[in-house]
Amino acid sequence: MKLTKRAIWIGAFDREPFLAAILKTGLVVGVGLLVAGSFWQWQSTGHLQFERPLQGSNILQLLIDACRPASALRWPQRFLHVGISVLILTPYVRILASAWYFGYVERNHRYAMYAGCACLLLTYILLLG
Amino acid sequence: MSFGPLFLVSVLAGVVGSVTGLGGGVVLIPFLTAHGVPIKQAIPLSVLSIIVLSTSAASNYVRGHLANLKISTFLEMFAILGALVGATVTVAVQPALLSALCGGAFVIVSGLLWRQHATTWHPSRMPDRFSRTLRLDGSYYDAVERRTVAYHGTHAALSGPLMFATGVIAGLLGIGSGALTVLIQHAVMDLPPKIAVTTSNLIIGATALAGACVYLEAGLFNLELVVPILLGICAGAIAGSALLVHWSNQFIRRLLLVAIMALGAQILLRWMRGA
Repeated sequence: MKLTKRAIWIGAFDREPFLAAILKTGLVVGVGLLVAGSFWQWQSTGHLQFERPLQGSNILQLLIDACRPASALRWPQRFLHVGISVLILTPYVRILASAWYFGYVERNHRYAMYAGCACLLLTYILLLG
Repeated sequence: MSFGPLFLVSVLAGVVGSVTGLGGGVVLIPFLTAHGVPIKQAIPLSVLSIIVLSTSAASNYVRGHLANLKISTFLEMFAILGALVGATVTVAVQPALLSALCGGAFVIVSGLLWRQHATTWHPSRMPDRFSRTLRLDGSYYDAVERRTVAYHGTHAALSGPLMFATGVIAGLLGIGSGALTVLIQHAVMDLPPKIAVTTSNLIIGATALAGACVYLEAGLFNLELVVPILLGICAGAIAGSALLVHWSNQFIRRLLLVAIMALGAQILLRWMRGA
């Protein structure tokens, strides 16, 4: 029996390692940015105190503030803000990926709908501010 | 507060949180408040630490096929909806009273479960029709028992609304969602303690996200404390997730009940002190 390209692709694409890789990537990037920002701050000032609080009306605004060139934040604190944003967004990306996996790869529409609902709610929460 | 002690306590919180599925608040909040951090700052730090703990521990649990993705997907939908309602709606119930009730319930329920004489966990013989439709079953290799353990989640129709209530409580109080999530999976859905703990680790990250957004908007995250806590939690969670595989279901169950009892006592004490 000749396997289609899709069947071969799905066979090589296991759900658990895929979602674990998303979680691991988010963790490594987020923690890496936290460590880099803290080390930079400690190297340049000798302490780990930051002049501005971690505050934004929502996560998107926090990210934009940290990434725009004219930001009032110093570079070490920008790293911290982006790192914390990445960590906060990782569970969201995991649920988004679950919805895609259940819907597109497994064709399990019931679970794709459950994950999609969770995703919609989280999108609303993330952009609530 | 200096970096070293805070980092070490966070490592401990990460280990306890990842092997019990409760999050790190049970260790972190008493430590922070005892060292002069206001409770209004300690709870947001605990919520942020739950997200990191969930990501760190769950990445190992998911890869090892210990956390059940279908169960987590089904339950977290209700929990997130509840957290959204809890965080935004003004309720007639006083948060202090709800907190006391929640603490009391943790102590009583964990005490009752402790008294159950079942020494080993057995799968439910016949899951109900709705649970069968949802296919809330799975299996995992138990390194302690040296065999593959099959399980079937049951009472899904009750667990969903209960998870909604858990989300509301978590959204209102910022605490306790991990304990309730584990209890629902173990006591209501009849899942083995190992699966309840590992799947809870996955769910609490999504529930905590809702709280984190509210606290972010309010500017309640203390950046000086965030870094050592998150790094410590991450290290502790990775260590804890490696340990859990080598522990028996019975040991995890006992550990879990002690942790829930401690959390309940902690909440009651805070309520008595008027915090």
